[in-house]
Amino acid sequence: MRLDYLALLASLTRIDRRILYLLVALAIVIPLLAASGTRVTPAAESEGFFRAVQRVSEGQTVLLAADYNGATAFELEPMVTTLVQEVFSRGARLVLVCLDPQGIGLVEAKVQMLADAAGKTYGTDWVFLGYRPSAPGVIMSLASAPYTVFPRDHRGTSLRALPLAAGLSGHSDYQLVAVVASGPAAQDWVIYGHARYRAPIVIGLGGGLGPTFQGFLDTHAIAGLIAGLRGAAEYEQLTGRPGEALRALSAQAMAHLLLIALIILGNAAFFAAKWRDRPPV
Amino acid sequence: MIRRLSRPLVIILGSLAIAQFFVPHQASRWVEARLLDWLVLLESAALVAGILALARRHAARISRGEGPERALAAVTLGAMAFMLATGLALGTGPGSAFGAIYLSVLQPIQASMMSLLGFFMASAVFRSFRLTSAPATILLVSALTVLLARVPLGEHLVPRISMFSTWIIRGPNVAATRGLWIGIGLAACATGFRVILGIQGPTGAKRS
Repeated sequence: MRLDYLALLASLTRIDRRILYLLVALAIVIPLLAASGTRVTPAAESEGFFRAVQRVSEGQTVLLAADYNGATAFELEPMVTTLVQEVFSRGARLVLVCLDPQGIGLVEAKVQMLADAAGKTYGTDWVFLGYRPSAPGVIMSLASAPYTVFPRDHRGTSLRALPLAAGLSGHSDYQLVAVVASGPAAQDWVIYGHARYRAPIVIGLGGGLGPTFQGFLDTHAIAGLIAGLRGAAEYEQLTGRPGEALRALSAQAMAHLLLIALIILGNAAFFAAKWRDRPPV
Repeated sequence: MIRRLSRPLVIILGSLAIAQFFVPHQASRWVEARLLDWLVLLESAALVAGILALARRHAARISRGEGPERALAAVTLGAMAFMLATGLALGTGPGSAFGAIYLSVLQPIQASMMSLLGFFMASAVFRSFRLTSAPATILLVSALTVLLARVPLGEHLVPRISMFSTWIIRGPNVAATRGLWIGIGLAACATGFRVILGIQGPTGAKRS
């Protein structure tokens, strides 16, 4: 009888991959359809991110670099949503820049929608500088001579004609530099921006990049970090604005549990097959 | 002539780029602003050159290729031309046709491509993540710990799992990452100096 179980377990090594795909689909779709929100315990780095934004007060300016595209929007857009809502609710102003050419339309549409919902005016309360190539060059230029690299905003209006941007002079304009990025642009902001901006830098990243940036927290190069959907959900919970990330987190959690089960089951099947095929003593 | 000029140009401009980090003088700031302008300009030109190279490559595929290769190249070029024409003719702002195509076609395609990774990952961890050696075991135990700690249910299933996960991320992970960053930094400095001193070309080729 014991051997039957062993054979059954060993046969799992030959499982059709379409069954695995179906399991993944179910693990994601069912929690999303159930729309069950979840609660998380915020990590210290997420609290750092939250506190840095809380220190921004009315009339101050936040520089937001939203460098993501359609592939990573599912985990980074909720961060931008909560951050922009927080900035606008505090009466602060927003200067938006995008260093990913594939994300311009996505970022502009999202912030425009949030600004409309908050009753904020373009040019006075927020401005979108748009995209320029060369992330290091743009990061350093924005800190020293913003009009040189961005003489006009993304909509073609002269920067000096916009009330918010007319007074920009560089590194000391901002109370906070927030970077939400999926690629190497986040590293560029830390490397080239840390010493140049007289403002704390907070970073929102894709889940896979999060561990790479932990060292920057210890050296105080960044003031806070939220990584992946989990980080976005923690930030939503800290701000008391439950949104897309908290809703989607249950689906991600279920997918993680499935991965854990598959790792354990895959190893059990592997060793069962090895035991079954062992040479006779 | 251009080749002969490139070495002194690299030496002068490279030295100026380094010097402005250490010289807080007005003149240094002026030089820095000009260098940064040129950096952005050069990368813009590189972007245009990249687009032209892509168009040329796919045009060659259409003229020489067969079957699906030719069709895919035609789709690429056609999509590029269509988006270029739409953007130039009707603008690229919110609510424009360009923006609508981007949001309803390109963005879902990118999201779908990314989401496929989840399916492949599930298949890969089932078939390949095996306890076959000591390093593989360490990797597997670390991955399981971090994965479980990221799940809200994890703390209920294994008490203090977050503590172990945080230790893995803040301890060994940060140590390894710092080592990598330091290595990358030193290698970048060494390569930069080799280029500036004319020992090595900017593309990595050793100068004769």
